[in-house]
Amino acid sequence: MSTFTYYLSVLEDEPAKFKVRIEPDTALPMIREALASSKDLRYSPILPAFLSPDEEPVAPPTTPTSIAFYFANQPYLSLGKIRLAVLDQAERDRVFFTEGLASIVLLNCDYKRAEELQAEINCARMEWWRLSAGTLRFEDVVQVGKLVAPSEGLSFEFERSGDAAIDVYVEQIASSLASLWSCYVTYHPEELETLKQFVKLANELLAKVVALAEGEQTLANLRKRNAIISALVELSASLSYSVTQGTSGSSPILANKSPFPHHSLLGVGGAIRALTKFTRYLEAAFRTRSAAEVIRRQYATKTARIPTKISRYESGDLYAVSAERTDREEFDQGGDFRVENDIPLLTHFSLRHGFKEAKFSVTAASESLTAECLPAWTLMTLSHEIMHSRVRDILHVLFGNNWGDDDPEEQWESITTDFDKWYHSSDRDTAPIDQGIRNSVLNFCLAMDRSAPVAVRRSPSDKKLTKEEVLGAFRRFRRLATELFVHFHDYYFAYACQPKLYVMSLWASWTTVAAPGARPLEYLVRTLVTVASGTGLKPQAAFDYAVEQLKDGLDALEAVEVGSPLFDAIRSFLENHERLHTFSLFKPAYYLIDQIRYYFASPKIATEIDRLETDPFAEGSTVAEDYSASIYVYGSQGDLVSPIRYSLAALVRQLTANSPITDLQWLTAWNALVISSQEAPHDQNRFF
Amino acid sequence: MISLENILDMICTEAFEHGGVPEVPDHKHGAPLSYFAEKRDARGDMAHPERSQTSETALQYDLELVEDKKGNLDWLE
Repeated sequence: MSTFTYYLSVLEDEPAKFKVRIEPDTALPMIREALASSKDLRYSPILPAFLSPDEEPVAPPTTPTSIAFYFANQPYLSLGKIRLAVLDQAERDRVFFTEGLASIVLLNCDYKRAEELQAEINCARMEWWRLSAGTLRFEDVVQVGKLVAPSEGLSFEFERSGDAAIDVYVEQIASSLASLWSCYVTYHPEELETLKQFVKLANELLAKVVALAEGEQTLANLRKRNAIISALVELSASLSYSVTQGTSGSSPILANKSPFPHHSLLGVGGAIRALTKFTRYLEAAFRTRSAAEVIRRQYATKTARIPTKISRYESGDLYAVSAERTDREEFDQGGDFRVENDIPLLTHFSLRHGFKEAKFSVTAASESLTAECLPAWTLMTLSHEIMHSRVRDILHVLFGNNWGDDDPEEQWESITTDFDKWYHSSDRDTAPIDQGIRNSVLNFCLAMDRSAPVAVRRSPSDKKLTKEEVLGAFRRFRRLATELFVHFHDYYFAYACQPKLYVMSLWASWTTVAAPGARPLEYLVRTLVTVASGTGLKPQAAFDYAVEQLKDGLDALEAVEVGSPLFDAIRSFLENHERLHTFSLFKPAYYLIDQIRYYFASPKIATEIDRLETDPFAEGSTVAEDYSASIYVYGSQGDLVSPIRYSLAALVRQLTANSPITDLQWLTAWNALVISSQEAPHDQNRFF
Repeated sequence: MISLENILDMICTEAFEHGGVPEVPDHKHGAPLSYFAEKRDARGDMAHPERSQTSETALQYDLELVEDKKGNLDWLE
């Protein structure tokens, strides 16, 4: 803990009478007091907004005489605007920022000045509290602002289905959408379009469930109905999280308590906005080329030779990522395959799920509210989850069904027949690229299914497989194949193919996750093949290269005191006979990730992510490596901050122990503040 | 990022593959501990509810990992 972070607390002393205090360092004394007196306590961290190198910020008063709360939707830009042009030094010392919707706080400021600043900050809402000897009454709260009316309301066409079990979800979803709509109109207008998409989705789901109820009542029908109900439950739960996390802390503050106890006064709406902006930025970049459409309309109509024999696989220059290939990457060829009519991901925090992707949402670990600046909780991990959504789409197009399918057995029959023909084809034969990619995934899964070594070679008859056995292998190793797709997308698009940095980021975060401790070899191989992808080296050379990158990365982590028993465990897999075993698992995975690299690398999308020309942190450079995340840089209107590059630079700052300050909460909230102020993606009206 | 049409088709695929069992576990279908261990797929490796196990050989797949007497490991096919 450090004196950079202060806690603004409100203790209900008597009904409608509150004690307001600002405490440094830790909230524990005020929590102790609240427990001892059995009184309701609300508090939130507030952080000094304007730091100077080598200077301690001025401490705020313990009992301020007034507090102005500004509900600024782009607080980083607002701070940049008022810092020198509007505020004098004495005022700058009294400006704080938060992770709530009330994103900027000014202490000891009379009402007239507070109102003047509202116009400069450009926020729809402001709340001003007048305090008498640290006491606040309801009548001392002034709300300033107008109700913001959008040009149109939300067209609401939900009908009750007549089935009570379904109608529970209809009402839950409808009421969540109503809460979010009224809040977003004022605090998050860019997200109104997102809500419209969820109305469309919910209507489609309800129409299907009604149609199924009217159809023939079979077991297949029942399963489809259950799948829709599961989707409705998932959708309702995600929207409910959005309400509780995204709308609490709105004005009037005292009437909108947050469900997060350590942000109970002001909520986490600003941090939610940061997650959302981070996600929308990546979504906008990926929307420029739909992987599903490239597969359906480009890869299904072109043929190519994708290697079939993993045992003889050698990679090659074709697979190397290089500047010379920028205009020739397969994924970027052909027409303009934009994603149309998409469903954006809802974003929120989750203590239980941590970082996680599902069909309708991505979550960040709740720890990221306090310690996002630490490698374990960096928002860069959110990029991995967003890549899962992209890959979910890819694998669906390769292996999924649609509502016109009645017999998935037939589809699997066709897939295994194609695979058989492809596997036994000659080196001169070609096949449609979509089939080839699908076959390479199956090839990897079957290889993994045979990764337990045998001392005596199987007889030809023992090598025969039924289609159920092929399906079984696919089901067992689909998750691993998926992770390889995701790792490549994350490494290529978010980390700009920086191997040591990627290793450091992965293993710093995995020290806090249970699964790598349970399956260290799997996570080791995933890392190695990812940093080997794009080298074009032969498997043994690629393995040796990746091992060196891994060791360098782990050493660098330990040099800044990020360590774990896990590191010794994975190093042991790279010694003696264990190294041979690790290499044996590396080879099929390297084969697959090379194919992923060849068919899914997209300089067009990467350029959308690295739009550094107008980014204040890039200092005019368009090279990602030159990017800084200086805490002394302030934005101005028109600046376009890349949340990916910013988060990555902030992560590097921590991984290299190069941060000018050590206050985790301050750094975390500042990162959220910067990212939350990101301009909306250019194509926000894309849905219509 | 995923189109509405593809999202709907994914739900159909889930009906075929998992019979409608939810992806994100609740207390009935997956304890938090097993959820964290198998974070990506709460359904685990459950067998397909509709698959029969009686089909004939579909293909000859030759790849195998062979360990010789010196402990060397080679993929052969």
